[in-house]
Amino acid sequence: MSNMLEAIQHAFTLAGGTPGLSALFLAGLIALWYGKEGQKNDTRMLFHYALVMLLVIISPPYLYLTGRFFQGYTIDKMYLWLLPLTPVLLKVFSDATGALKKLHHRVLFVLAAAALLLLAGTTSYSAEGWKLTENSSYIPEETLSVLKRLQGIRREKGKEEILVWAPQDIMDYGRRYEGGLLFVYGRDLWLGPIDSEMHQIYDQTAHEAYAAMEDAVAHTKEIGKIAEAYQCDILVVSKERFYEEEQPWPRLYGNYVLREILEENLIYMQREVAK
Amino acid sequence: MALLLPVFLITAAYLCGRLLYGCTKKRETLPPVGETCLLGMFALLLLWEAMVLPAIKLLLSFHLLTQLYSVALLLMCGGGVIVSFRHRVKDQGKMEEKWFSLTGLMAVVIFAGQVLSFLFFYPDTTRDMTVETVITTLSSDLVYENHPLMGTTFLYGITFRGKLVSLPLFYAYLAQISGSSAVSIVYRLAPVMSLLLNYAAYSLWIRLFTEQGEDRRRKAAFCFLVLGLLNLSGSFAHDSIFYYLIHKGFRGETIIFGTVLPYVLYLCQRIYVHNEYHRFLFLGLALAATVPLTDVQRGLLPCLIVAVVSSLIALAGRIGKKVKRA
Repeated sequence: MSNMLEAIQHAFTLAGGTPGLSALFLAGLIALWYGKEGQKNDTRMLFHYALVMLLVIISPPYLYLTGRFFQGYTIDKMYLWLLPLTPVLLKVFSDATGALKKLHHRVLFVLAAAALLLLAGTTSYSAEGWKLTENSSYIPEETLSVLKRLQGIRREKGKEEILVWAPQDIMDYGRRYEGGLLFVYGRDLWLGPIDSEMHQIYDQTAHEAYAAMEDAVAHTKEIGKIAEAYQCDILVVSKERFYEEEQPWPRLYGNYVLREILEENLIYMQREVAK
Repeated sequence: MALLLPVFLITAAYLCGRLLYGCTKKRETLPPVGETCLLGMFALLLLWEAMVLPAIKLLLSFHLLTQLYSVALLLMCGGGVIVSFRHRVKDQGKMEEKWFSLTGLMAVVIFAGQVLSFLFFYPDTTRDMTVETVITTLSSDLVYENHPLMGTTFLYGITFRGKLVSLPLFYAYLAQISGSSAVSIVYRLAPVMSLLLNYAAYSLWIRLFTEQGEDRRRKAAFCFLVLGLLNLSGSFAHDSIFYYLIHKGFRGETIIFGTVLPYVLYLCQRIYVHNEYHRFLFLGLALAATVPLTDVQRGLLPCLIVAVVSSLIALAGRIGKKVKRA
């Protein structure tokens, strides 16, 4: 019983976005109910629709079904947005401002409404989601410099496309930067299916490749072999290994020869084709 | 060119909307600008969908698809210009006076703040590959043939339902004709358009709430201010539509829940309360436009729920009235 009450409270909070906005919606609904008798049919229909949707989304059968079959899916939360929060609030605020005749009353009301909405929205402005962009590509600066270099290498080689194998950080943003950079696997390998309608089958080799690349220091030999099997043009790996064990730089990764240090912790290697 | 794209899109949407309005029996009246733009945008998306599906079947290149669509778009805009011209005199008679108020100015400032947030803050790209899809389409010149995250066709497949969602391809079309980068189109232009459509949908609600009584413009300005404040204040809460509007404006779900859904509810009000049955055509168009935007569960289904629940409420109301009379 207490779980169900918690679920109802949680669903109601999510429907509005924040507890404050949900409470504001409830207050708006009561105001609509109070004023609907003297109002036009528009208000009545909006009130009845809002009431029906509210009763549905906080009803135990609905919560049971979504909790059982859609738990963890965003679609579960999106159906809570069927609640007409914005139209109800617009109606209430519109009627309220219409009732005020004196200028100073209106000014005070506008200020009070603005404060109420801002406070109802959130009480914490340090919430996640607001992060200033570092550049116009919307890619972190460190990753961007590596991607720029990879693009430069592709152009230097005069190729339309090059196959790259790199750590997760680079491959995460690579396809967002340039279409000429192909990768041996995508973000959906480590995140799981991103789109339910798009199916990519990764074989065991791809999973082993990912594991080896993310722990490059321990998989020096495997990385060379896997890269050769995929026929990668470019290999980007962590350089920690070289400093730690003072191994000779070239040919450490099979046929891949060191060309350049890309960033503080990354090196770029290129495949050397036997003549 | 990228800066002119919103103007181009709004103009094209408005002209297509006028053309659609010209097909209804209510063509003699001047439609609200917001509704005209909404209908026009739905028509543009449906036209795009109608061309993408055969292109996928016939394995046409993306370049050819964009050329064909551009011709169709020009024809529709031309039709819209003719319809607008034919009703020009009546329109001018119904133009309302310009208005200015401090509340209106505040609403504009809040709107501008939302637009600026698209430029200066990172969008939420969790489990999203819209930009990758756009870039892959442009670089391969193929429609849904290559894996967006790899760029190759390595053991990759997309279902027919997945191919129905043509919004990322529409962004690719915009990038192709404007010469802008995919990032500019998806992370800057698309959220602005999404926000404009949101305002267009709620402008109809505001019009509905303020069409009678005094001080209509002042009330409307205040409602727009409330709308902007709601979007901004709610944008800090994850899993709310306001967050999606500000941080995920390029996603189809944002357009569905921020624009199409309120518009469908508005149409139901107009149809059942005001007996404007010609709007069934618009309702059908709005429901059809959900298909290219996102998958059926997140697009068509919630909109159908809104339409069905509203219809049932209206039906119950009518039965109740008849019972009372009896």
